[in-house]
Amino acid sequence: MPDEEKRDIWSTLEHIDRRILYWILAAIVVFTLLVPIGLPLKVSPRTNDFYHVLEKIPDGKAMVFSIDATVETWPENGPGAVAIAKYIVSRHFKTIIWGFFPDAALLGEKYIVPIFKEAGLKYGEDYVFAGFFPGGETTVARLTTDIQGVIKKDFYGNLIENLPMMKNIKSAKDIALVIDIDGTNGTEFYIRHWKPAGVPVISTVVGVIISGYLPFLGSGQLSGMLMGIKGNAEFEKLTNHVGKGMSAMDMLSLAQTALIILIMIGNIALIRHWLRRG
Amino acid sequence: MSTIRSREIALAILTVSAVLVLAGYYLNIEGLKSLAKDLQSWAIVIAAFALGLGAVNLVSFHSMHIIRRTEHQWYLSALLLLSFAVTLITGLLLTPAHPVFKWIFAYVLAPLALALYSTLGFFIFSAAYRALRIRTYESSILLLCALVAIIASAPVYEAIWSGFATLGQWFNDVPGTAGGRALYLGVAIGTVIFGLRTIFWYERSQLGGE
Repeated sequence: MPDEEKRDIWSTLEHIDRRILYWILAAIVVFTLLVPIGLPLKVSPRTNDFYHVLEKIPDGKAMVFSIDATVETWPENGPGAVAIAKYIVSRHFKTIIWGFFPDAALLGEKYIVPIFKEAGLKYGEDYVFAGFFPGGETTVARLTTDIQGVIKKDFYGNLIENLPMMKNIKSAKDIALVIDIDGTNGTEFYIRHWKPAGVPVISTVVGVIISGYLPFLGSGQLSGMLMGIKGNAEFEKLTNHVGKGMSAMDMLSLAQTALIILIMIGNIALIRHWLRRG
Repeated sequence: MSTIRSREIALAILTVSAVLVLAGYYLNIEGLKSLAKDLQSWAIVIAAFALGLGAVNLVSFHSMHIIRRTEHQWYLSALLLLSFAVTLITGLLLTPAHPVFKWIFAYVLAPLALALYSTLGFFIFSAAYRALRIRTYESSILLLCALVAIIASAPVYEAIWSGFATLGQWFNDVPGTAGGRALYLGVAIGTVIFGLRTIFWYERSQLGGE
């Protein structure tokens, strides 16, 4: 009987019901949201490199802020996007905000444009919100040589040629940096078309596409990358714009720890099963 | 006969456009560059039309389900079309910058999309527990790599011992980058071959043929 009981326990540990796993994760998420622990966070060399690219751009230069994230990826992309926007505002860069996925217009309007407004920057002189453009990579390629040929009107219906900031911004040659908020694969478009035109490209990407961009980072085609929510949180810490990224770090650490423990339990139970079977 | 002709015409347009855009990229001839630019602009306009075509297809597909009263589907299709109509009419009449449209985005679309996406976290949590087992030699390597990736992505371990971060970065920089480069080179070569096959009419699958 005790043997059977033991076997049952190990068998249970080898095949824990998925509903129990869901409850464990849900409990961790709720607990860390209600009781922030403040686990330590170190800024990685990758995030430092990203920051230094931004730091080297002289104040007041023009840059593109491309929102290629979707509503679904925003919890991971958003904290970094907001922290970068706050940093841009502090450096008075002339910023064009646009995106190549339909969500870009609404995400930009809800989360990014208010940061520029609240900082007292003037629309049309300090920043322009162009909204969303269809056409993906073809549009990105075309923008390299003729920005005003593609963008006739901004998100609010103003003629682009009438906006004072756009008088000196005609093509990629007039842009000092592209920052891509990437929840899809938009950064690749800029790497292929804007980097050869001499514009450095930096990107904040969701965790699942990090490995896809590592070759570009190694070759220098991508000048900097914030890697997933952790990279976003590190950038928040580095620029003192603490937000949702930092608050997600406790959850990330505890959830990953729980996962490691569960994987170890599952494997120990499996080995024990083999040993018993001979 | 007419089908064959229309396919040949489509292929001819495709070949001429592709050659002109490629020539405009590689040759420094002003007239050619300008022509390539115009073709790119046309492509952007066509892409905008494709969105409309997608909407028509969506309405047509789900209308059929409603008309045929498809079991367990028609009421979902009706709900989808109702949501589509409300969003489209609001956007067209009031513009996407209007507070009502923004409300739909912030309080309907965003929570639904986020709820759907966040369930992935739970599935991955459960799947990782089940899949990462030392059943074979290959799965043991997968388990090892996964553990390094998990530990390197959790901030607390980096704070405990900085070696975890170094190890994680090495995995990213060496095997990760090497694998990624191999993949990208393969994709690039495949894309060039696909492009050449398309230009020389060997590839016709994009027109719906064999």
